[in-house]
Amino acid sequence: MKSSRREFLQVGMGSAAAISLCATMPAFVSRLAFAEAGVSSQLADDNILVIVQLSGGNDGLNTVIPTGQDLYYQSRPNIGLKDNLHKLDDKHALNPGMTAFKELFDDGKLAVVNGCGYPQPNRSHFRSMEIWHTANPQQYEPCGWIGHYIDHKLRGSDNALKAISIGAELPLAMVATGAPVPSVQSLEDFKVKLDPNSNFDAKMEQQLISELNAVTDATPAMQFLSRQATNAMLATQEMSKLQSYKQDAEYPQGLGDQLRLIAQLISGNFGTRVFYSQIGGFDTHSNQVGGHQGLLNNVAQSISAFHKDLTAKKINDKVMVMVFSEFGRRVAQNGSSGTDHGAAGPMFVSGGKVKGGVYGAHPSLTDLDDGDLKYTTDFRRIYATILDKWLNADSAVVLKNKFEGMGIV
Amino acid sequence: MADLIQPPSEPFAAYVPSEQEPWDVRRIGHLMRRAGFGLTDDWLDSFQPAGPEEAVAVLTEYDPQDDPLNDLIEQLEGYLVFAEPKSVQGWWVWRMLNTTRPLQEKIALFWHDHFATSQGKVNNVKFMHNQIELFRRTGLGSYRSLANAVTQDPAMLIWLDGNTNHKGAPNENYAREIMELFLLGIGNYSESDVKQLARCFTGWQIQGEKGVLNPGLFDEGEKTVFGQKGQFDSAIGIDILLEQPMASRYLASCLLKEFVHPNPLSEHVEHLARRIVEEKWEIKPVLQEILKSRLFFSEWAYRSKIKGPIELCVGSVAALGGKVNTGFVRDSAAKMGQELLFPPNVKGWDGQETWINANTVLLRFNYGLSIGTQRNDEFARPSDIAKWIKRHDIKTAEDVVDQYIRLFLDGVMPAGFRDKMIVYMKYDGKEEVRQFAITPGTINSKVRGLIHLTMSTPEYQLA
Repeated sequence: MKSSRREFLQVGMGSAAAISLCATMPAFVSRLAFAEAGVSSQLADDNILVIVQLSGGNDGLNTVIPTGQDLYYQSRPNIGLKDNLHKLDDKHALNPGMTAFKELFDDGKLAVVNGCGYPQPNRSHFRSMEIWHTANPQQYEPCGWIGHYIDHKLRGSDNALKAISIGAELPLAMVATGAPVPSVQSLEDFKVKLDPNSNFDAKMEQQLISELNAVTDATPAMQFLSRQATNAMLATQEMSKLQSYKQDAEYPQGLGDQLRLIAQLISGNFGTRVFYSQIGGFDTHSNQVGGHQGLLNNVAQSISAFHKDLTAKKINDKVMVMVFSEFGRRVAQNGSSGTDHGAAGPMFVSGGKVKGGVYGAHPSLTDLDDGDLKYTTDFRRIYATILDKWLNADSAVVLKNKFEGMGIV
Repeated sequence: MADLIQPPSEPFAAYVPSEQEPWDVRRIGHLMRRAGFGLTDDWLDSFQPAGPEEAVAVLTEYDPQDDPLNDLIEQLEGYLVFAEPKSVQGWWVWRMLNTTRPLQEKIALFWHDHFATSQGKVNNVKFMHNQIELFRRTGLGSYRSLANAVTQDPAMLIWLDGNTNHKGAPNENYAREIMELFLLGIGNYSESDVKQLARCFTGWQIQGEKGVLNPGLFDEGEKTVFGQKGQFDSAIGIDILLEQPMASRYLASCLLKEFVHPNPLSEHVEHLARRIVEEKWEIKPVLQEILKSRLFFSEWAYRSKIKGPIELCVGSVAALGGKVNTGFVRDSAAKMGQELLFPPNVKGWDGQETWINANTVLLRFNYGLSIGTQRNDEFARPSDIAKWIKRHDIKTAEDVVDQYIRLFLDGVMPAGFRDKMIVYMKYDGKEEVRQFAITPGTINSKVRGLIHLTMSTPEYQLA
């Protein structure tokens, strides 16, 4: 499918709301909050997590189809999928566009987790996205779950590239109390450019820009801006060491461009532990079948290319990809051959060390909550598993709650 | 930590210039950033003798039907075409840069963000253009009329699927978002209200370039919205929404966040909500009250906001003059996170802190370098800089620095900044300090470099 930046921006959730409090909170608060959180594990400290956000509310029922259930087809007379499905087992099949995911699944490298959600689901894109970003369905939080992980597990690190978000904005999930996580849109733009007219002017300009942005205790807005600028300049210094990179797989446009950049940054060996990428367009309220399949095709192909590239570079075992969306959609189609906002939906986890398979029970199509699927797996169980079993962190500290792990890794 | 600045007493009383709170470049700059895209020498010269009352009148009292730029745009044959969004984006940037009524474009941008509709799904440049024209034409008019016009607007009918919302086959998309994001705010309605209101909005179809009601597709049955029962249509549905106490508060809060401060106090919101109802949802008198108020011109509001990419890109170019490459302005703002006609989602741009991250900070600084030093005809042409130097009778390094700090930063910078810039102006790579003189060489290096440096400060990112 041909995918452009437009489609990303289309209905995609951008960044999340207010981050001022978090970004200006003095560093000592975070040290106190996470002080002495015990971590002991045999895991290597160089595993990498790549998050792929499907923005807009991915229609889970047309992504992982509950085959053989008449009720599915009765609820979706125009959009229920029958043909060219990719069978996973007797009860589940993937959308026809997800050939590349079927291959990953058959290789045992793709975990499909059914019915992910949380209690009292919120059907607003924005509130639900915040809940997934902060892992807190009860109340608003200024920092994200990856931010908490950074503050907890990477608090001693002064690496300016310990986590990187791809794109024009910084998602709430990546907001930490410590040094801001950099967002990178393109390598060409990720540098302080200087006047080529004269060497001594350029040198002095660079020096002055650093000085003008030195962190002061002026207003919170000034503190926020100067910290962002100072960290950006540190990050560019690191990034300038990036060596040449040769891709060993064909990436599709769209999400593929972001994952290729991530592969390049991983090859740069900066010690980055978490990457974030997003693709929009999943808010499929009308005539959804073709467009939705195209999006899923892009997601599956991009992720598959990413793993191929990393495998060729012999680093695929170090990388895990986690795919989520803010909610699924209503069981019944609407009047426009589309679907309105719903609740639980599937997640995907892939990687060299991932234990492939179908996890969690598919939500019932009869026992519904106001027309919506009831979740069968709290999404925070996947977060907890990744934190404990992959990122060598203490999920109970990061998520402020203990969640039962899953066998996906 | 710095002392937290408090909002003023009698916040909505009119600001009256005084010795302590003079009508100066700082307040004129503030007004122009909030009600427009920033200060220019011409605005400063015109508003300084006028005073705040007249300045606000000049900005708000215009007849949208009688637009001085209309003829000019028609003369630019082929400039505005509807085959691709780039043309309409460029047309709007051109208007923002050249307008004599900056508020008309600013309020249109505000509604474009509020009723955020994206060409990404609409996929019809003419409809997008018409929607922006609706915001330009009626942006200071009745909010009730605007909400009704938006409900029937073809771009919106596509964007939130109103055109597929039929009797017996409702589509909830528009009903949910009009309550969550346009009129009430999240949490102020039930799931049942979403479903019932969707039925009120059934039947709107696109005919040519207009939205028209198809009675055969309209659900004329009884609905229950916010406890009221009746055979409501879309206009009554909107009336019921506007009757909710949250509606005026929500609008008040949105206006205050846009024009005054990112975190308005609840008493400010309550006051303005009351005024909105008293003014029967007319935007202009409410906005005039805001722009004239002590609150607006207070220390509390000053530099409390972060400039959006369009404000930054348009404002700096407007201040410098030049033949202007609208495509470069448009693309630069898009990279920084604000592409006109393509808000990221129905919530619009989140704004404030979310504008800023490593990527966008670097882009902002590099943009300053581009428009300062691009050394061709597009920005800051040699002739523009020469004219500017003559206009301000600039002779010394101090003169250059003072004039740029005034134009770009209202003359308000921390101690030490001016001295640093003066040293930069005089530095020639050797140890001793050189005497500075205005020459083609220093104009080309130092004067241009100063544009880059003033735009690479945290202060310049603030609105």
